[in-house]
Order: sequence, then structure tokens, then C-alpha cells
Amino acid sequence: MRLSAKLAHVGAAAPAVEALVAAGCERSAIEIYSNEPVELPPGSLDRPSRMSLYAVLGAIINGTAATAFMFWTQQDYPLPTGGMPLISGWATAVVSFEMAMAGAIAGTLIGLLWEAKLVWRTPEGPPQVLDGDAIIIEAPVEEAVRERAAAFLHEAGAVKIAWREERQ
Amino acid sequence: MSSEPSPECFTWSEPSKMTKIEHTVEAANARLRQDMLAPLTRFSGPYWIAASLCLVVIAFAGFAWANQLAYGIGAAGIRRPVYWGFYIINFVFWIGISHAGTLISAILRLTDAGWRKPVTRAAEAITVFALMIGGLFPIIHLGRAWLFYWLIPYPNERLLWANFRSPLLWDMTAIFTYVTGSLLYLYLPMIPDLAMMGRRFGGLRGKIYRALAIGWRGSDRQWHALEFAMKLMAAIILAVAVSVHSVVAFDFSMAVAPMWHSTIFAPYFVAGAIFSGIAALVIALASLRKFLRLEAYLKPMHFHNLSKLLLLMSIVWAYFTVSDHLTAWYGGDPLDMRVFNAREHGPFAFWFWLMVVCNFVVPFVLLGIKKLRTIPTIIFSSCTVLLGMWLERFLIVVPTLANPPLAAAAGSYSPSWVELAITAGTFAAMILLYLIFTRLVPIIAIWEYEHETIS
Repeated sequence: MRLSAKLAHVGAAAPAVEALVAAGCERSAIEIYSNEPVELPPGSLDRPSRMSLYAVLGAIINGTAATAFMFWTQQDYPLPTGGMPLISGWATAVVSFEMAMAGAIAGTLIGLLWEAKLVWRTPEGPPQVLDGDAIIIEAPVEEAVRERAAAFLHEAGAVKIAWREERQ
Repeated sequence: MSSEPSPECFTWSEPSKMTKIEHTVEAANARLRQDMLAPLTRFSGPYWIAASLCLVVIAFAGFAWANQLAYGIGAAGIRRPVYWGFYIINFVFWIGISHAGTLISAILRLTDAGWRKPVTRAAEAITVFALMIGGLFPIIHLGRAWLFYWLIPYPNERLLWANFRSPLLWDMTAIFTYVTGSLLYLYLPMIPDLAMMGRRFGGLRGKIYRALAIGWRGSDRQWHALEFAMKLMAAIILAVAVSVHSVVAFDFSMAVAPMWHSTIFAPYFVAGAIFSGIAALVIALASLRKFLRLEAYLKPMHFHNLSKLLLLMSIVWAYFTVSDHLTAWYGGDPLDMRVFNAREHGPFAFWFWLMVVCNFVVPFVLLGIKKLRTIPTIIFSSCTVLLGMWLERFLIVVPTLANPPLAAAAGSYSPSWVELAITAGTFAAMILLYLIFTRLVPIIAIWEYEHETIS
């Protein structure tokens, strides 16, 4: 069964997470839905991110590709430079920097889309968060601990609780 | 607006209980949503009049550009030796204005300044629109605008490649990166609001909002990823914004021309861009506050904080201007001195001293003296700063070109009606884009403001 509990305010989120964990739910399976970001204490629902890595990788890949492109272009299609070197390091560096930043932007965007599971549809349809300050906490709960989870959640500040079958 | 759909898949089993504080917060946030969403469906008479006037001015600018395309670049006032005129001045001016949003928003986001929340979206929109307008000018300036794609490095039958040594190519890459980054920087924090509007609006409009929300459900994973992405983007965009205006400065400083070939040009341009950007932001916020009745959200505190930034940048600008001119004067190079003298007490002296009054004297007096610092004086100072910063670009471009190293080749410049019409058209385009934007999305990020209320 999948449990959905409505909490009246963001302050109830952290106790609700702990209540579900105490009832036997896995921390990583708990999801909170809200209309604004919920700040939880460290260790409650940590979501490690690799977005910085994507940004750095994007910068390296695009920067290197742009530099290589300019290098070979300047060498294979030489412009008259009046005796100066064909390849200008300073000039190339300016364009390389801009392209590296473009790569970092693209990397960040891809990281966001991937980690937030945007664009991709998740098989488990989460509840819609309506306008308002209420937040919804969701988690898969074993049939055996259903009553206990509900009791713990009420104690933690849940104002409404609903159940539904897990979608396959 | 359509009614809100109820949650699918399940029903609640217990009645809701809320404390008094929670009810108060809920009521405040409901009011916020109502105030922010009301302008999206309210199209008053003055709105249509303003939009129509802008369209007329833009149409005239379009006619002027068509005239230039038909008869050649000679239709503009640029003549030997002044080959750069209003188009390049406007290009530098609008790229400077674009620093209003992204740079200011990124600095405030990274420093976690809480007061930024009602300000950021309006600022980020300025960036995107100013870049769209500024980016047009090099193309208009080309004369044969349809050949602009020659700047793009791509394999072609002419076996010609773009010159990577040219600062104009640097401009293109820098502006491409900045436009891309700024668009995303505006769009990403808009996603939660787009999802909310997708739920509120029905029909085609609702469908478009939902499509733009790209599946946002408001899960803590999504919030976490969005907030992290915004911080990362702020850091990246900060570097890009500084580099963009540095590259624009390189257009001048890489030329061995009097009063251009200066090592402080890049930071001087960046400081000037932030300065004019803040002024543009103040004017935009004041207009939004008045016409969208946002007095409850855009408070005097926001104007006072921005005025302090404006005053700081006015002092920084004065410092750079004095450094640049003092160094040129002390060096006494004859070529530099001809341009210097033309600016200080020659044909451009009136505009030079007007620039000093607009950029330094007025903000220093009106914003520096606490008793004089009110919203009307802040708006007035911002207007003078915009005028002064436009004049600064004019005084950088024209006097140097009008006084080339060969004295016999000296010349003058006066803009033609084509340049004046196109310049007026870009200001109208900025206003029109803003008018349209305020009717498409809430001008204040609702979720950010709600988060602030709850905190």
C-alpha cells in the first residue's frame, strides 16, 4: 500500500519523516510534495546531487571540442596573419572560455532534468499538490505496519491520511 | 480560470485541523496568488493604448530599417571616419542594461539576500529582453543583414572561416552563451509557478503552462534539484556576465586607437553595465509597482536597498572615469590628448559634463543624503543614470573615431532619421516585451515569496 499524509504546515515535515522511518519505511522511498521548498535537518531526507559534476563535465567537453575545432580550423584554413603565428592562444582562449561556460550551462540543465525526473514520466503517479500551504508526504508502507505508521504520523502532525494501491 | 481539479487516486479520511498561525499564512499566500495572477487576465484600456503606441513606434523603426536595407548603410549617418555610430552605442548600452537581471539576481542569490525575492524575476526578464534587443544591433550595423550568418563558423563552399582573432566573433560566442544562460536562468525558477498556473488555467493556455512545466509535481527531489541548479547557474552566469561585458570592452580596447587602448576598459565596462542595469531595474520595478498595484510586495525597502547599490556603483563609475582620464591626461600622448580635449572642452564638452552630472552629481546628492532619498528621487536618479550611461557610450565611440591619428582625416557625426527611429523602436520594443511578459507569467516568483512568508 502507498500512504499519503497531508501535513498542515512545513514544520511537521521533519517529524513526519522520522515517524515513517520509525514505522519501518525506508528513508530513500519517502517523498514530500509541496508548493514551496521544505527545509529539513541534515540527515532527514538527504538528496545527494551530481549536478556540479555534470556542469564540470559539460564545461570540459564543450570547451575542449571548441578549442580543438578552432585549432584545426586555424591550421587547415589559414588566414593571412602578416607573419604572426597562425594559431593565437589568447584569442582562442576567449572563445574556449565562452564555450566551456555554455557546456557548463548545458550540463547543469541535463543534471536538473535527470535528477528532478522532469520531462521523463515516472511510473508511480504522485499526488497533485494543490495550491495552499499544505504538504503531502508519501511512502510505500507494508500492510503489517499500516496502523502503526498512521498512528505515528498523526502524532507527528498529519491532519489527513489516505491509502491507495501501489501502481505497477 | 478553471476550478482546481481534486487529487486523483485517493480521498482523505480525516477532517483538516489548522492552527491560527497556519490560517494566517494560508490567507497571506492565497492573497499573494490572487494579486499575482490577477494581471494575467486583466487587460485594461491603458494597457492596450500603451501596447498600441509601442507597436506604432516599432513599426516605424521597422520601416526605417527596411529603408536602410533597400538603400544601403548610407541611409544611416555613419560616414568616414566615424564608422561606428548609434548602432554600436545602442549595442553597448543594451548589453549593459542586460546586466540588470542576471548579474544582480545572481549576486543576490549567491549572497542569500532575502529581499531579492520580489525583485529577481523582473530583473531576469530585463536581461533576456535587453539581450534580444542588443543582439540585433550588430546585425543592423552590418548593412547587409542577411549575411550575418557569415560570422558563424561552419564549413562552406567559399572555404572561408570566421576569424577567431576578431573581437566581433568573441562577441557572438559570448552573447550566445549569455542569452542561453539568461533564458534558462529566467525559465528554471519559473517552472513551479508554471505548474501552478497549469492547474489554475483551463483550455489552451493551461495546456501551454502545463507543457512548459515539464512534469513538475513539487516533490522534495525536484525542489532540491531546482535550488541546487539555480545556485550553480548563478555562479556560472556571474562568470559569463562579467566575461560578456569584458568582451564588449575588448571591441574597443583591442584597437590601438586613442582613448580606447586601455587596460581598465574591461572592468570599467562591467562596472558601467552593472550601474546602468540597476538603474533600469529601479525604473522597471517602479513601473510595475504603479501599474500592477504591487505596493504590498515591492516595498520602499527594495528601492532603498537598490538605491544604495546604485550609489555605490556611481562612486565606482566615477573612480574608473577619473582613473581613465587622469592616466590619459598625465601621459600627454598627442593622439590621446586630441580626443581628451574634444571631450573635456571641445565639441563634445556639453555631453561630457552632462554625463558627469547625470552619472555622479545627481545620484551622489539625491541618494547620498538620507533625507533626500525617497522613491521619486531614486526613480529620478535612475533616469539620469540611464541617460548618463547612454552618453558615456556615445562619448567612448564617437570622439575617438572623429579624431583619427591623421588629423586631416578628422570628421564629425550626426545620426540620421533612420538611426533615431531604430533607437526609439528598441526602447518601445523593450516596453512592449515587458507588457507582454507581465500578462503571461506572475512578475514575482510566487513560490519564492511564499517560502519567504513561511520562513
